[in-house]
Amino acid sequence: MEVSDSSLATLLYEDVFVHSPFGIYTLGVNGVITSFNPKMAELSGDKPENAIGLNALELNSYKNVGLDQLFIKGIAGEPFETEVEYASHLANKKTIRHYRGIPIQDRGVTGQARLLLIVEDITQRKLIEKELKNEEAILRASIDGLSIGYVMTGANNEQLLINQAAEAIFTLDTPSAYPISKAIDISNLKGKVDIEFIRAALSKNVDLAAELRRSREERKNIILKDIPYKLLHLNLHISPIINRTTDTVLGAALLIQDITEQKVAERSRDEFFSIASHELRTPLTAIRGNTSLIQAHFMQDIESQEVKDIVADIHNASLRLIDIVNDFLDMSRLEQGRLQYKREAFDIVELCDNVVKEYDVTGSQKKLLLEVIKPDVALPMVFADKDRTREILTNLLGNGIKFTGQGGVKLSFEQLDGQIKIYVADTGEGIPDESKVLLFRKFQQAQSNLLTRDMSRGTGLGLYISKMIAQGMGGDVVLEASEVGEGSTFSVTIPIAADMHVEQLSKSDSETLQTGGQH
Amino acid sequence: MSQKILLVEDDELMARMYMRILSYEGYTLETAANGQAGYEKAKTFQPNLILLDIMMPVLNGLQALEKLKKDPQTQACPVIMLTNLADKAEAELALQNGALKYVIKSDYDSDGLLSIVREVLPATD
Repeated sequence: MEVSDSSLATLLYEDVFVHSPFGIYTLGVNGVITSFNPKMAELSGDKPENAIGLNALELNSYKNVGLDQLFIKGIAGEPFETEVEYASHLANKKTIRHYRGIPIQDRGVTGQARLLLIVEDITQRKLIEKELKNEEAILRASIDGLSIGYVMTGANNEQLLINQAAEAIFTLDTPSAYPISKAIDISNLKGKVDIEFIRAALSKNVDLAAELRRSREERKNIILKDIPYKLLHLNLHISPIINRTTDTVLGAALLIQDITEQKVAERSRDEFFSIASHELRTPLTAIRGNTSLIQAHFMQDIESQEVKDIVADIHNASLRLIDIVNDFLDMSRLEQGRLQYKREAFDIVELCDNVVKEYDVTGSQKKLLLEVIKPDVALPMVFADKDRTREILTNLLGNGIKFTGQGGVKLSFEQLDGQIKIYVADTGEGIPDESKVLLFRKFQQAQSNLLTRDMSRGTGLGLYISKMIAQGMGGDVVLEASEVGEGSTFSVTIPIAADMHVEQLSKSDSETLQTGGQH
Repeated sequence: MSQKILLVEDDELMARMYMRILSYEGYTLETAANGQAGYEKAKTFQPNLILLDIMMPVLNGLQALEKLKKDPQTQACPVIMLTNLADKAEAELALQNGALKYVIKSDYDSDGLLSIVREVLPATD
């Protein structure tokens, strides 16, 4: 059968009309529905045969949402587009429809269609859009609510997002204004600060563009600590933003943390410790010195044994207080990383011998055997701060003696790769499992809560300090083993000196000899 | 002739204690309460050893040390710095400027201090 071009086109139009995913219908010049496609029937719940012939301008469902007015305009030749929300024919469900009204030229053939209506159900899309908007708003609010500065940058270092804290840090640039939650008017911040501003502001100390790039390329978090900006101290954290699904790097996030207050507090705390320790030490030294003078020169003048004991108690109390002051001072310094270590090569076995000798009197008073088990082969020199190493060994040995009733404390050695390990093993009371985890924390003693602490056993800072010192010198202090009733073994590791350090040592020795020595 | 020690210390409590420790040992002592007075006294007293506190009014210990080491009348006399300052860096600065050693006061009792002094000046009764 021959089909003419024009009827082929008509057939095609009919196909589009029938199969369109959009609802399509047409209104005549008087508003009467003249066609109604199956999708429209599905959307409205009306059958085409029922719908056709109805006057759309008179239907309440249209009037209620004001569509009738738009239809009138459309029929008059004015195209429109609108979204309307109304109750669906489906139970209690609101639907949102998108209406596009297209006036149709009266071609003078049928005079039927005056307004073509294309209808789409956009309920689902709207819902998703709304959720996305909500999510975005929540994200935005959370990012703005952060007291930490946040800048998101794209693959070319361009700024994608900046939060209020980031703007505030670089706009206010005075530490007293922080954190921004303290009711600062941030309305005038917008737009003044961006990633370029920040890059320029920090350029003296950090190549921010390069660091962002490095984070993206190496897919690494980068932390830049204590970067100065005007009066502020900032920590910068840069992390790559990676789309896990596609495994592509989208950009990098920059977190800016204002640590100024913390820094100022640290500094004043250190000053406080310095002055307090001086002020405390001076009278303590006088007590210590004077009581030791009485003991050295006037004991024969004191008849009462009780008074002699009292003098001894005062003397010991002053010693303990001096130790506490020194511990606090060390702790303060260690925590700030302000303790400086000398680097020197020395013989660790010899140092252990000396430390043990200092405890000889205490050891024999308690009838404990203190011994240094000499290694079979000579150990290489270690490379660390000798005085600080002595402090660690004194602490470990002192602890061993303190917590041991009978038996003794043994020091032995093991050479590891690059390090010497010194074991300090006692036959004391041992440490229960639940206390082991707390052992190296500040103010901790095994077996003690606050009320049952045995203060005569020290401040509880010894192991904490020893471990920090050892780590500062490239070693460590650990609990090797402990069994309640059997004893404990601690160890300290110290790095072995490289040959060049030993050479330096012998060289400086001979130099000291040549100049006649200073001691 | 007994050995002479000049003690420069502003804290009376400390000064009295050090005087006791040292005089019981037979040393001859003079004291000064600040760095300037200490420097002046060093020139007339001509001690065999100076014990010099660091934190003092008028002229602190480090400034006094500098003067002592510049003055031909006093530069040969050994100086031991006494301090309870927590700052080791300052104490070490004293060593660079010619002090023989520095002593954290609270680290030593009377015997400890004496053994340090004896290293420089054997006691004479």
